Amino acid sequence: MSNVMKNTDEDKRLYCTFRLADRLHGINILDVKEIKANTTFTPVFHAPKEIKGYVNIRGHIYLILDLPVLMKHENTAGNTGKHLIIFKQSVSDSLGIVVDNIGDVVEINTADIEERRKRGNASGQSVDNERRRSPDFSVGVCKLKEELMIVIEPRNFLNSMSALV
Amino acid sequence: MELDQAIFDEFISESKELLEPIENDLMIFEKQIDNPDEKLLNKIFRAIHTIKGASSFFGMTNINKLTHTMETLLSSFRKQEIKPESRYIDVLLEASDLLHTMLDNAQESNNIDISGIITKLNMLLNKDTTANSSAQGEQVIEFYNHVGHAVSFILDQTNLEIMNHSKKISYSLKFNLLQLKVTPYSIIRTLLETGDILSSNITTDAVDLHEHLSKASIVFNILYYTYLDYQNLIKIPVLNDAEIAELLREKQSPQTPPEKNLGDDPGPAIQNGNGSDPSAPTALDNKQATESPGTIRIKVELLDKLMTFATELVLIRNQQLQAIDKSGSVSKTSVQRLDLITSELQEAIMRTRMQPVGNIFNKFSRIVRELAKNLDKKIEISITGSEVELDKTIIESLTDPLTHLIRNCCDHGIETPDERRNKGKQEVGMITLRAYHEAGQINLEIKDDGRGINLEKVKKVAVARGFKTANDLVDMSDKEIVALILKPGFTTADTVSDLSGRGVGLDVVKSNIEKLSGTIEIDTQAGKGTTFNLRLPLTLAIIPSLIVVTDGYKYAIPQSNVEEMACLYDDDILEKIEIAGNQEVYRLRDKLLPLVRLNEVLKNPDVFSDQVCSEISQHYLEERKRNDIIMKLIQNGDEKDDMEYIDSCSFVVIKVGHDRFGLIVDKIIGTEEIVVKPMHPLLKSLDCYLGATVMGDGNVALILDIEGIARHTGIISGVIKDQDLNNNEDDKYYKNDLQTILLFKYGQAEQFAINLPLIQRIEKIKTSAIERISHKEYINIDDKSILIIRPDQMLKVGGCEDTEEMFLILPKYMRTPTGILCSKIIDTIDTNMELDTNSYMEDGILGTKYLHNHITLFLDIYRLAEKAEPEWFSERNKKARQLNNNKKILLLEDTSFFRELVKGYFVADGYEVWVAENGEEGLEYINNNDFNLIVSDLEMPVMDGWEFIEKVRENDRNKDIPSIALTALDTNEVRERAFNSGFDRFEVKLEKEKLLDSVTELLESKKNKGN
Repeated sequence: MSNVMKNTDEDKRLYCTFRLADRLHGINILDVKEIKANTTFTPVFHAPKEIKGYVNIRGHIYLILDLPVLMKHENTAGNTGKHLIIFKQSVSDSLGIVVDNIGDVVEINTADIEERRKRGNASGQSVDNERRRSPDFSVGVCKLKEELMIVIEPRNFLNSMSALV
Repeated sequence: MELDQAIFDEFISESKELLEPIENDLMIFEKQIDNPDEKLLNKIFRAIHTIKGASSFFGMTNINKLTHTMETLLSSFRKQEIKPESRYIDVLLEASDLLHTMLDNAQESNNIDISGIITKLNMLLNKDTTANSSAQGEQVIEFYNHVGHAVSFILDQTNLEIMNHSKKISYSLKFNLLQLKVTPYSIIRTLLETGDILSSNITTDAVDLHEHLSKASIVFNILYYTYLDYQNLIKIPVLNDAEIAELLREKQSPQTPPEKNLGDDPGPAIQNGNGSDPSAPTALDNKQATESPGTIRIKVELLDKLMTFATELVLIRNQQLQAIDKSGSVSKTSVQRLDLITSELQEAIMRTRMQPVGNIFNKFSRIVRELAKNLDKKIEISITGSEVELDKTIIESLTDPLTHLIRNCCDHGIETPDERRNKGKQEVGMITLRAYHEAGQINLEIKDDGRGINLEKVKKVAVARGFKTANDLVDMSDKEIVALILKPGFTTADTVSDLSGRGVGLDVVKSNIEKLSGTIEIDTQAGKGTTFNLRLPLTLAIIPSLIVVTDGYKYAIPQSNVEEMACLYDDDILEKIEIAGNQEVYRLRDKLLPLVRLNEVLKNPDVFSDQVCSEISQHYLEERKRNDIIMKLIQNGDEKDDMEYIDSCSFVVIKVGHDRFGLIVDKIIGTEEIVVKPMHPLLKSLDCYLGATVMGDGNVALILDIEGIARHTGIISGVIKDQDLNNNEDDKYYKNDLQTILLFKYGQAEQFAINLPLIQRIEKIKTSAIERISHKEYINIDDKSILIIRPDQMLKVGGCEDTEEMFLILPKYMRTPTGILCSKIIDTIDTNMELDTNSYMEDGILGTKYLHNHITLFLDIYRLAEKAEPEWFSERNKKARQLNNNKKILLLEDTSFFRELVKGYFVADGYEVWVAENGEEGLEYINNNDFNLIVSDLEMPVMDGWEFIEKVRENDRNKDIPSIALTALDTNEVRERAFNSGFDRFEVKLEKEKLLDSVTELLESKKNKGN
């Protein structure tokens, strides 16, 4: 992964992607500490259902959010396997999410990202749609070769959760 | 002045460190008013001096000025011109406070107004120096050089006049006498040719001339007054070696031209800047380094990191240990070493974070001093155990609660001097602050000898506020009632005065202490004072915990909350768990213990309502019934494949403050040292968890917050709390007289009891190992032959069929190793020792009592032992009886059990025994009768043993009666006090043989003396 990162130009960014409710989502890889396959969770009873539980990664305890639940997609079928995305300290202390259908790392031009606030173009509708259905984590959309990728800002998870508890 | 930030920081932290003890030192110094300790004064002086030197180096004029003035005042002490009266100390303390403030904000320090304090200091200085030392009106005058540094000289009135009305320029000239190439005499002569020397002095930075002179510099300072301007002045040849600085009476902003330095080789900035004695800071730095060897400063960050690594290592160690348990491979030894070293490493690193509690304790002398002044009371504080160390984080969060408690003591505990005098107390109130280790915990004791807490008022408020009903209060012990003041909202504005204010915000203290997983207890005696007892863990980072499993997940319960564990089997699950109100309860040693099911707690995110409680209770009642039926079916051989039942029910008995409850879990695994990691900020609002930890198997386990669970389930405020069973009610009456006893059976018939303190241990033995020698039975335990006593051999009680395994109770204080055989250990219970000695008596029995629905025989084990070895004892007894005929012994003992026991020993040996329950009663007897010997307990109500014997010895008639102090506390302190009070001997209770020997000896020697 580090090799790829070295090649990143200023206007190019790597995004870690996953699929949720048939849509492709992406998180800036610079926010991601590591991606980990299936582990065992320790559930935290009494916590909101968006909290999946605690995991231990090399002696450090992380709190894992259940992203499908958080984004109100918990009933979506077709889970192929759970992956953890652990965020860096700069995003939030000891926090991660669990996602289904982890995808590839894609490289995109920053110019290709349509900021959410800019309306009236092709992607506008889909963003609007997204907003109505779930809490607001997306900061924009990016047109890839074959489809659109919703760009997620992980810092928003924490805000959204803080509002819940 | 651009300086390296690091050096600057170093200066700040070092100055603070120097300043830290000054407060305390000053107060100690104040107390030595008639006999000031020079060493202490020098220490204070040195600290201020160092700060002064360094501050000028950094251009912090205000700090420099203040320290300088303080130093001047301090030097008046040194010259013994003034005594450390409190008016001086007050101002010095105030000044040191200001120094603190300035150091906290060093960059801005020059903008802080210090004129007020300087004036105060100067006023003290001027008044006293003029009054004491100089009739000619000498004054210390401060001059400023061009960079604003102060230089002071002593000037008399005439010279001052000259200076004020003249156009001449004043200079400070500094010569280092050690490097001087000409004689001081020639300097003075030369200078006088072109001007006047108004004042001069010689200073040295050596604090102790005997020790430090060789390394120190001696500086000759001259206040020179001349028409010559600077350019001309430097042409004077003898001034080649001098530092010259033009002086002004008024302070000038430091933008004026750079410093003029005439030295042959211009030294570092520090040499030029400071007018008084430039090399001081460096010299003192060196000195300090030699004073405290082997310490370095480490960033807390780094320590925290080390701590994290250590805890991580602990986890790996735990994992390794588990792996090795299973594999049993050859690497066992290396893992054992890893285990050992990790433990040691962990401990060492933990200790790096430890700080002595003295760091906060010492602040309190100051607080108490100030409060006493404000409140017009006389209060002293005595501090012990300052060296006890606690984790840094705990220390930091202890300051507030402790301050609160101390304030409470001063404000509400200690009475005014008048009041105290009227009560016959010393005018000066005493607050004792004590820290000590006990059982892996730190105990902090804050004690005052004030008026105590008025329990009646506490009760009234408790009822008025609806915390308790009047009925509840009847059943509560004093301790429990006092603890009510810790409840939130217990006092409000209108009850403060009623309650003498105690309790204002005490709930905050309690919650703070509990946050640190500590406990708080209050003891109070009306008119005598109040004691707050805080118990705290040494560290919060790693705690021993009990690991339990519920619904397949592991949870940790802090060991400090765990009292005991219990497990019910088979029938007991249905029968022993009852329902009281809507709560499942279990009778644990005749107390109702509410039961909480952990799985239900976890399942219900909302605080339990009454309805939820009863639903749970009903659900599990049916469950238990069904379980019981299935179990019975299976036991009857009606087994079917789909039948599953639970054959045991484990619960952990947990204490929260004074409350107890049982937490039912699926499985109890064991204790483990766990590393506490705080809950994620997102989960802080959850009540039931304290934190999380990584277990040896790599999974995360949650640490339960017991108190949170208690609140969640409503157990603490629960209706069945403290509700004793009816037949135990009279126990309350004898609460102070409670003894723990062991109940056991020998065979099927009688139930026996022995006082637990009399028992050394209980051994499980195989009956096949019992050997017979003539008609006696012995067994070998730890290479000792132990004589076995069967109750049915000694007493007229039922026999017992030997089973394969039986128990042997080994009593303490036996002349020969002896054990009492029993078939079944039933329980230990607390009960009073009011025994029935009428209905059934036999030699070897102390009495009977109805316990656990059975008549219970209390065994006199020593009598039994005598009966077991009649040969030895009969010989002795015969002798004794002859000797002791007509000897009268006065026995003082408040506990009826011991009274009867000890009395029995004496009576058996033929003495005539009179008993008294306390010292006062004893005195009455002794003044009206003649006794040959006094045997007295020490701790007794009304009048204790010490006071008693002192009173006895006061009377000439009684001063030779031999006396023995009898006590359960065998410490040197008690022993010494007993002897000092007038006791001749000191014996430990229950050591029957030694006691009797002592008695015989004393009586013998008395007789000899008499002859």
